[in-house]
Amino acid sequence: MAGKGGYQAPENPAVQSGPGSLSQRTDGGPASTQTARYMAGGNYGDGQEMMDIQTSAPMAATPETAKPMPVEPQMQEMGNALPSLTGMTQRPWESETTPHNAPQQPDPRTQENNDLINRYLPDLKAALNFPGVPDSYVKFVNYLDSQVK
Amino acid sequence: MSKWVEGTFYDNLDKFANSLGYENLGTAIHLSLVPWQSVADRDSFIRAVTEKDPQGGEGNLYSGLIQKGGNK
Repeated sequence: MAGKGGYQAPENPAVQSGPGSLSQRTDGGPASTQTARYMAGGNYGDGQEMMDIQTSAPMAATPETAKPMPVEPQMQEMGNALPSLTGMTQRPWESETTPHNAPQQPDPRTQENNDLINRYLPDLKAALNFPGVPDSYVKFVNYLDSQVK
Repeated sequence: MSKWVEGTFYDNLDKFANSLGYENLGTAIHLSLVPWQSVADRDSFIRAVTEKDPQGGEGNLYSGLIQKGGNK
């Protein structure tokens, strides 16, 4: 007796097939099809037309999405060392509005030099009146004098 | 009136400030206060540190030299 032609879906598809003689058909189950989805937008009647098309025949199941690659332990350690986007800042001394290219910090010697200039400049200026004072010394004292003005 | 004398604090400061750079004023002042045995010793130190001859000028008049260096 000839059977029906075309695709015949099993009445009780198995979730998983066994090996060899224990094999069972797994097609036709809920995992082998996908449900129809309504697509919004388009012209009037397009949504219903699309639903009719989708429900007229079972659609193939959505292929399994690729599983994420296992993370190597070494990379995992590296990831743990990286700062979190939502974690506490690692630069607590900076304001949230600090620009990326923050202005350079002033030379720490500047304050020390200013203190020394204020302390020594009167005496250094007195030596400008010495006969035979070299020009390099005059230039040096003038530079110090310009720093405090 | 005092005169510009080689080997004094002012002369040392002139040499150290011009050899080390004005930005190193603190170092220059402290080294100028060191009781150098001679101008030659001081200049040898500057050469060792900067690998250059001492910078700075020479006074037009030198009187009462503390010790005459051999490198001038």
